[in-house]
Parts: sequence; structure tokens; C-alpha cells
Amino acid sequence: MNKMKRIFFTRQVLFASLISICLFGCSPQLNYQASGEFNPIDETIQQEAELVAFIEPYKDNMEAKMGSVIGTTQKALTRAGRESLLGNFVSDLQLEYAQEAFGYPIDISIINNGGMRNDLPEGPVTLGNIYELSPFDNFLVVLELQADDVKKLAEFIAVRKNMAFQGMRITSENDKLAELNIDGKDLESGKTYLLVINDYLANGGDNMEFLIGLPVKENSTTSIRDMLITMIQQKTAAGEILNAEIEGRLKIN
Amino acid sequence: MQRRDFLKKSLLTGAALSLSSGGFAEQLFTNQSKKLTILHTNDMHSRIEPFPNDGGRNANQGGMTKLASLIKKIRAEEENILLLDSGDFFQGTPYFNLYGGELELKLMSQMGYDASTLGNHEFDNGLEGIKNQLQHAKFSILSSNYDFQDTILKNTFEPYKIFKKGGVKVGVFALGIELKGLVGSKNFGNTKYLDPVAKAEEMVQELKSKNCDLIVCLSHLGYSYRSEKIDDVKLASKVSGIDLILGGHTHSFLEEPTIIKNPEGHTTMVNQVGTAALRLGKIDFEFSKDHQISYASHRSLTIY
Repeated sequence: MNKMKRIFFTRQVLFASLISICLFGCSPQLNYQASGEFNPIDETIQQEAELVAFIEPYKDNMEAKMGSVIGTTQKALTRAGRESLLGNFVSDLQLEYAQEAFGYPIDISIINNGGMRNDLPEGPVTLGNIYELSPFDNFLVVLELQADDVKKLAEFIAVRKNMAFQGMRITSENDKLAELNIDGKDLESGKTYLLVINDYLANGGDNMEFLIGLPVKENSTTSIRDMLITMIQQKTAAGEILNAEIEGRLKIN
Repeated sequence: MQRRDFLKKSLLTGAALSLSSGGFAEQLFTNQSKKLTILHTNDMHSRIEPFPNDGGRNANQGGMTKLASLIKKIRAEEENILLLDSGDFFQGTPYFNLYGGELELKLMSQMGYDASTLGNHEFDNGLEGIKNQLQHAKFSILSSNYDFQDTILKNTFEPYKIFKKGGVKVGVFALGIELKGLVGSKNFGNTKYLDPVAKAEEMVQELKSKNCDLIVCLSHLGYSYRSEKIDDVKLASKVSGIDLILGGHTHSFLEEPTIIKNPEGHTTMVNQVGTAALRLGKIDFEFSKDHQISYASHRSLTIY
């Protein structure tokens, strides 16, 4: 089998499994044999000129739109550091957007560092920049957490340090949760906290299994990307310059 | 190509000869045999052009503009081709965000797709988003297990279609994944999700009664889950009579089709080719009339 596979490799076909099925399908008169393979669509294959020409006006229009400036940053908002400028920027906008769009106060906003795929440059920000920052179609979700759930969340962040957030202050000591406050206050047992997060994490992505099964207050169809675009356009229209600071949201001792 | 054909034939002869009832191997290669090539994709996700040349893993690969030239090449080599897709052609690049799927459907039409189905991402702009784009699809979009009766998509999708290619009758039906929990409820509204296993059994009965030579299921259920959730592998073992399941949703890059022989002895081939038009699946069938009915109980399978 290996040998055969190798032979087929040299014939531009990465795989070929020959399967002979001799059976009676839906017709008692016809037998068939089948062989399956796949053809990689790699660098050896040229684009079809006809289609390239057909998409050209769509592409030109798209590139013009992607190049359009929707806001301006005061400084580069990067992912550098455990608490990052970009992480703070995105989690701030996410909290602000969710409270406006859903119409109630929300306690905590979280974005996974891995969900932010590119930095924002200093100066003009284009629509294309936002697509590069957030290429995934992850949607905003609001979850209801009890004090214990919030503690679990903070413990997770104190260990992994892989999340950007707003609404909490976390101190991590020796990879453990040392201090936690929400909006400047200690956790209150019996209180329900609202968390705005994306559906990828809410469904247990990035090892956040403890979020699975928590009551879902909002299951929106707004992607993080659309949220960012809406908020940046809104701020720009109001004459704001985009900015964020490192504020000690996550302290590591 | 010649060397490959030789290998293929000799291996297949070997396969046939390896069956306990020898003698019909020659028959498989008579001039009367009918050939059918099924080409298939899944989860193309608005990958109109190849991935950008940015040093990434898939740089300069995939995309519909390249897929089209590969399909053109194969069309020049093979006579009877059925070109199928298993859904999620929408969403994934700004082309979708800007044009809502128009370009995806136009290019698939130009490539001569025969049929596709609805993946979960087809619902990303809601039922309206599907309705508004359908005019651009010059091919069948099939759906057997979504009930749109109480929605604006009522009477829009056929549950199956029969294609006649080179004297072979191919029945194609299509199964979609449960939308609840996967797609925002606003986006699918009153669409009802019907049990894929029951629907598949119904479709197989229907297509058999119409004397199809081959039954193909376009599935967006996903290849295989550890949980109880229905998937292509479970479907193949639960429902007899499907010859080929062309899957999607899980973006599985299968190195070879999975062959499943179910408890009733029926054999189903399951295949899936990743995402973003990075691969084109090709399943070649060779049909031959076999007058020795004694083989009726002899179902055999050899994988090399």
C-alpha cells in the first residue's frame, strides 16, 4: 500500500486508494467498482483565466473597500505582553458594544489572545486591518455566571494568562490566582454576573470547558469583526482617536 | 497517466481475482462497461481566489479560480462527470461579507456544478440571505431534512435529484446538520430539522423505486464525532443502500475514502476533502452488466 501511494505521489496525486466494490446496489443488474483519490489544488495549478477576469470588478471593489480608512489610532495597538494594548482595546469595545446593543449592564468582557490575529498600526486603520485582526466568524454571546464560575474563570486566566479582559482585576502569583475584584469589588456570593465572550470560547474552546452549559442570556449573530467595525466607525464619527492603555488588569507577581 | 491506468487496472484485476468466485474479473473490463466520475468539494468557504502569497501554510493554494482549471482539465479527460458539493460555500473571506454569496454561486455555476446542499454557514445572513442569492445558482441546491414549510423558503429546495450520465442513473439527496446551537435562532427561524437517519431511509427507498444505479448523499453532518451526534460514519452504518456519502462541515482532510460495511452487509464509501477548495475529490465508478446473478449474495470489498 505504501509503495502504491508513493507511486501516485509522483503522478501529482497525493493519494489514491483503489477500492474495488463488487456488489449489487439499487439495481440487481449493475455491478460497480470504485476508486477514490483526491487532487491537491496546489501551486502547480494555474488560475482559470476566464474566472480571474470575471471576478476582477468584484475584487477591485473589494480591495478599494478594504483599503478604506475607518478610524485612527493614537499609537500602535499591539498584542505584545501578558496584558496587551490590543487586548484591552478589543475587550473594551466588546463590553461597550454589548451593553449598547443588548441594552443591559454587563460585568465582564473577555477575548482570547489567540482570537486576535494581527496588530493595529499607528495612524489610519483600514477595514482590511480589522479583517486581519479578526478573520474568524466568532459571535458575541452573553453568559450568566455565579460567583463560583467567575472564580473558576479568574483562576483559569491566572494560570494560563491567555485572555484579555475588562471588568476584572486579576493578580497572578506563582501561576495561581492571588487577587480578584470585579468593578473594584470582591466577589459576592449569590450575585449573577454577566460575561460577554465569543461563541468559540463559550462552547469550550481554548480549554474553557467550564463555560459549557452555563445559562446563555444572549446568543447573537454579531461577529467580533462586525462589532469592531461598528464601534470604530461610531467612535470615529464622534471624533474620537482610538487608544488603549496598560492598566494593570492582569498583574503577574 | 498511462502508467497509472496500467497500475489501476492490474490492481483492480488483482482485487477482483482475489474474490473467491473468480471469472468475472474480465467482465469488469469489457467494452460495455460504463464509466462515471464524481468530482466533489465541501466547505469552500468563499475561497474565491487561492490563499494569499504570505508565507502561510496554504499560500498560493486552493480557491475557486484554481479549482476551475483543474475541473476543466478533468472534463477534457473524462466523459461522464458529476460535479457535487456538500455545502458551506458561504462565509470565510471578505467576498462573502461584501457580496453575500453572489460570487460563490456564480463561479460554481460557471464551473458546471450539478448539485450542492445547505451547510450551516449558508444561514449566516439568515433565510433572507439564502433567498436573495439563489437566483445566482444555476445548479440544484438539494435539502432532504430541513423543513422550510413555515418559512420564506417554502417549496424552494428539492429533496433529491436524479442525474443520468452515460447510461447510469444517479440519485442524489442531501442531509443538513442540526441548526439549533450552531446557527443563531433568528437566522433559521421556523426551519425544522428532521431526523437524518429516517430521512435517509426514506430517500433510499424513493431512489431505489426509481431504479437508480447509484445513490449518493451530500452530507453536511460532519465526518465523525465521539459523541452520539449523528455523523457520516454513523449514517453509513445505520442506513443501508447509500453507495457514497460526500461529507462536509468538519473540514476533514481524509487521506482516503472510508469504507463502511454496516451490520446488514451494505457497503458505503464516505469521503470528505477538507476546506477552501484545497482539494478536489475524485471517485471513479465503472459499472458493468453482470449476467451471473449468482453473485447477488457475494458482496466483497478489497482495499489496497
